Amino acid sequence: MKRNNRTLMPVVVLLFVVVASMVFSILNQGQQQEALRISVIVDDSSGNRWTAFREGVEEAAGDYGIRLSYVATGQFGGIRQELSAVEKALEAGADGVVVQMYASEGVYEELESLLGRENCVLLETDISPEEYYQTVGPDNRELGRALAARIREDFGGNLEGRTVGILCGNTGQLAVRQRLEGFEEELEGSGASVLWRLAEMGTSPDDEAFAACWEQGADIVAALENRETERAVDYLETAGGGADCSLYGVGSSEKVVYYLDKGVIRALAAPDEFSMGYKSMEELAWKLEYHVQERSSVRTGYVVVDREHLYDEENQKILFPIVQ
Amino acid sequence: MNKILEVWKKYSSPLSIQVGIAISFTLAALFAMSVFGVTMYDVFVNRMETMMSENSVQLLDQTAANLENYLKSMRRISDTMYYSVIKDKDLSTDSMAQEMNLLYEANKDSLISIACYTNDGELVEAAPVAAQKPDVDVTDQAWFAEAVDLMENFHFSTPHVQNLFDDTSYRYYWVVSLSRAVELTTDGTSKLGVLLVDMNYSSIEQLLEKANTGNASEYVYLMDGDGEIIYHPKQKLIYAGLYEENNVEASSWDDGSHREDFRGESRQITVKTVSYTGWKIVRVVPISSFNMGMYETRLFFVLLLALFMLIIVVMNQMISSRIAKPLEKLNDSVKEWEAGNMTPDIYIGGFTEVEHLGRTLKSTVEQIRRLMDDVLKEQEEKRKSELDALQSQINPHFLYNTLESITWMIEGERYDDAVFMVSQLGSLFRISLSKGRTIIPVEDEIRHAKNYMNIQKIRYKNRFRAEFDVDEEILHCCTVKLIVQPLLENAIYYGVEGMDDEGEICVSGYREGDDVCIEVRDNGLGMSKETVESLLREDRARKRPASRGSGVGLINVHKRIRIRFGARYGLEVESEPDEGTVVRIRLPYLEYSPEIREYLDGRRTGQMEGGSADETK
Repeated sequence: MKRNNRTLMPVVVLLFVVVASMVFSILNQGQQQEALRISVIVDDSSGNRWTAFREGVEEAAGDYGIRLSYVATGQFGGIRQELSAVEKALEAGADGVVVQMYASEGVYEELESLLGRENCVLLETDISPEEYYQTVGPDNRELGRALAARIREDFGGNLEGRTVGILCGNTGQLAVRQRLEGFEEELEGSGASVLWRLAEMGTSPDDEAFAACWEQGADIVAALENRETERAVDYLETAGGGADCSLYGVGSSEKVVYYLDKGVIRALAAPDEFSMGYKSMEELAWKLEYHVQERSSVRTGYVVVDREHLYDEENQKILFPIVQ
Repeated sequence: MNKILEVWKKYSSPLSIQVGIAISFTLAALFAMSVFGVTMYDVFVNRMETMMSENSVQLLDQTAANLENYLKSMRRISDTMYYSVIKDKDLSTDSMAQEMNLLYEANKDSLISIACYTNDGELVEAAPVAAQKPDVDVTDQAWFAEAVDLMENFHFSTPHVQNLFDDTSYRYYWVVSLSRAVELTTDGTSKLGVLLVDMNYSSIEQLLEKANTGNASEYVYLMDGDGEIIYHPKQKLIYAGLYEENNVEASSWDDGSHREDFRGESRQITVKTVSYTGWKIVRVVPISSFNMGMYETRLFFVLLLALFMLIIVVMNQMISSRIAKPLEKLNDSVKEWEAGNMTPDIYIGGFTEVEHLGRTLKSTVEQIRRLMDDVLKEQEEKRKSELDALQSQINPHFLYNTLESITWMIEGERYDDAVFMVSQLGSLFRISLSKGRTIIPVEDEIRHAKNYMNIQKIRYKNRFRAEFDVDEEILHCCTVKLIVQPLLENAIYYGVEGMDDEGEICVSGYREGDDVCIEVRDNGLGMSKETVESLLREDRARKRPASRGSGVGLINVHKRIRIRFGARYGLEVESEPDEGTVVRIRLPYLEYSPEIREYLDGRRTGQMEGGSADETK
């Protein structure tokens, strides 16, 4: 080959490569990358407590171009039902799942056979063994502690002789157990005594046990779950019992906020459900995008609010996040 | 490092004219295109930025107009309620419920509620009819306080959750409150009140969402004069602390386009103030998003550049080839000439200058060739004349001896011998002449030798014996004429003449491979080794004085053979003192034919030197 051609060939080849790659890039400009598909599975998906959460999930789906499947569920009767929902979501083509586990014990192996760490984010509650899956939710121990601290504050720090009843909710969930632990730890030394605890495994309400607890009477009742707070409100409003007790609750549904506003609930520890929804989607999208398995759990915020401060500017933003 | 140097050396060696032209043209074109491209791109980008800015202003103008219309309609509701209803009513006797409800119903898509309060915060009337929350004190609420503080103005609040009425369906409403101070008449007495029109925030949201339908990174938001956000597409995220906006700083900016760097991002900000409220609509266009829009344009630019470059490279190649080809051809001609071809095909063509160079070179080459031919011719002539001189050295020498012998014979009345001698001499001269040819058949040469020996035998009275034993095979081969006779002469003079016994001279001829050998053997006195070695040296012939004969016979023969047939051929001498001498003529085996003879006769001396007779086969 002549030297001239030897010099020229690489230049011509390079230019051809540039032209070809530019044409390819221009032609592929319009073609969008296939969107990630994420399913969200929570207990009683249409329940009032998920309104803000769902807003967050949808906001993140919009921001990150995610094809969201918010799985319609009723109240789960057991872990099998929930795992079946996860399985169906995966069969339907979901790349990842955000799931609020019905129970935290004895589910690891079955969940792990369905979902890897890369395509799963647990919502609100971790499972055993802890910290294997990434969890997005409030620091439940701190949440329980904050609620108890608020009670102490409301009673001037002296709870001597006061009795406390605790509506724990589904203690099959680690989150609830952590809230309970935090709550009781904070109450220790306050002089208050826990008169009763209603711990239910699962979400099927035991109305008799519930009524029996109330009948024991308690100066202060603390509900550690949104559902339990609503249940307590319903009991106080309809059954008319426990009129003398001070109700404290955890939750952020419109209903509990309404009863906080009405004065039925004395103070409310409200998790930032919008952030929980947004961050869970954001984290899962990130893991799926970059094929990352290990990622630290994310703690979302909460506020402890009473009736007087319900309409404070900052509280409004968390408790009424949806423009209606 | 060495490798790099080697590569550098390889590529830094002088370029061919075509490569030089192609590279120069390409670089010049690249430079021109780059300057042009960058300038055009810059102009394009500036134009695009201006257009974007104009688009932003246009969009904000449109959005502001829509918002102003909406707010105007809200003010109109307030005005209607105040001037057409409240002012006409005495609250002690009249109710404004019907008019208020009518007004609400007519505008309920945009309204959440209309309510009128006394100065003490007591609800006078509200539409839609709803129970007020028992423990609400409206006087603590911002909209009420502002209306009372600045009574002559309308007051638009920032979005907030309405906290007035009890809704058992747990619903709550985000509203923007329009409040104003009003005069309420009770029993003919005027007192201060506040009229509240709670606008549905979603109406404002919908209005602004229309401006946010495009690229998500470009957006429009609304804030009040203090930088409090009223609407933002990421409002929920901002409230949750998951997103930040530079609204406080933007609130201090005048209307128009600005550049800002916020959280490491460069953005174009366009601000438009909404009349009366002092609200500001802000359009944010990240420069990166603008660049993303430019991405396709950039790709297209690069594609065009690469395509142009490709075309330019190919065209440069063609042009440089067209310019350089004649020069390269001319160069090839020179190389051919350099390689030794004295008649190269000199290229004449191409551009005028190159053609002129070609013509000049061609005439130069021809001139040089002519000069060389002349030199060769001169040399050949010189050689030929030398040869002729050599040959002419023999003829008088021999003729003198023979004529002397004939003279003796005639004097001794040996007429028969004289006749024989003369006839032999005649034959000898005929062969000697050979029509002027130098190359003759071996047969003639042997006959010539025999003639000579016959003459000599008579002259020497048969004091020696001569024998000829020549193979038939070589008789028709070529030889230089008169090469055996000088050897015989030497054999007689230096070999057998001084012998007491009868001398013997044997002439034999035979083929040895591709050679022809003719040997002259005598049994004479022989020579020492040193003498043999010096026999064929040219300097010896010059130094040695001739005792008898010319003294140049052997050298002559040797040189003549080598001139004609090459250095491989000539004479070989073997001798031992008192044993005799053998002189061998070595010639190439070449069949005699007129063509070969002509070739050998006309062969240039220069071409023979160092060559071999095999070349002529």
